Amino acid sequence: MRKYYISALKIEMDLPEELIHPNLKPFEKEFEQADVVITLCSKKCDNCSFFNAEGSEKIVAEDDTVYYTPSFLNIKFANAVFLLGICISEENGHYIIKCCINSTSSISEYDREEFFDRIKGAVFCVLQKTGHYVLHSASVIINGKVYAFSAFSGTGKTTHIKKLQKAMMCPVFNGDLLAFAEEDGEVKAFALPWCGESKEFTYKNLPLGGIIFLNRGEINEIKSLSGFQAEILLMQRLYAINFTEEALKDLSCNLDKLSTKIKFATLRCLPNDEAGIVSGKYIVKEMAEK
Amino acid sequence: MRIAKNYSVQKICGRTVLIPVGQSAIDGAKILTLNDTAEWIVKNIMNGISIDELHKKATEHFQASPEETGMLKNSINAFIEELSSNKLIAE
Repeated sequence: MRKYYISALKIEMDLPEELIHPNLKPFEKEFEQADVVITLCSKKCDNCSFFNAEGSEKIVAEDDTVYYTPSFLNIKFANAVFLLGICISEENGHYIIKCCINSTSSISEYDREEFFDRIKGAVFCVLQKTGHYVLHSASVIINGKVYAFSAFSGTGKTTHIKKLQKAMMCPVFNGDLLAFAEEDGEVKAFALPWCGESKEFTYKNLPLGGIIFLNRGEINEIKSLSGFQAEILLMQRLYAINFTEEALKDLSCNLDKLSTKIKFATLRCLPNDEAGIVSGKYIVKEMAEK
Repeated sequence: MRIAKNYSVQKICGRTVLIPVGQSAIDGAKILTLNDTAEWIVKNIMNGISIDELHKKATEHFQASPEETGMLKNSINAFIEELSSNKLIAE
């Protein structure tokens, strides 16, 4: 069984070797004792009756159907051939993510890519339940801290990161995603093996220096954000699904605490070299110390 | 009249907001920030108040003079209409 760590969360992958994506390499840090254990396992099934579990609420997300109660969450994928669905349940801090696989189907390269991408959502759901949040962002490491640039797809995160790298000679932390949570009194950025199209990620866990919300603009301009504005933007950019009012309450309560420990800014920029210099200078002068 | 089941009233950094939950959150429904007056109205709607009761209670709460009552009523109706058009109100 392969083991991976995100913060003090241990992910056990009890999966067939042919389903393990090559991007999943051992993490830098290993914990002797994990607070929460997530076990990913596969089961062959042709007809998952528990997808329609009695008493569950149902929502539809991009044609996939999610059934949920306070104790479990089942996702049934639309037009699925190989991975039919995922079932998440929890008992005493041990989360089980069962991947329901079509027993009649053989595993192709496409299946493996799809599987790797789909289990991401299930792992993020569990991370959210344990106070770890995943932000859609491209992030860099400057002076030992992680700075994340968050924007909707197509805005220019990757372009800006390249300009920033040119200006600051800084490495990429993750090209697409950032997991963060409070640990030992500070907010830390945690490595994830998912990185979107960018293919760039690390296995380091480092302090989170700041989050910058990026928009296209006519000039290159960066400004600090109030806690309220930042939290509203953060809520819209997180991979956090508010299935229930209780989940939403937990989210806003946790973000209230976390946002006091993170510096936020908003950047309007052009896709030019000056934009990288502007954000690099701001990070070093305004965000690095807190 | 009630706030729709798919919206939740939350405090963020001390300010009151209406946030979509469940299917509405997936569908990209908007987060609405409320000022003090809107918050007072929403809290009353959450308690299942009727529109007539709301007019009466608002007149007392905001100490509206007889001349101001009509304007207050219109403002409340416009706000309720805005909530309804955004599917934030359930009958």
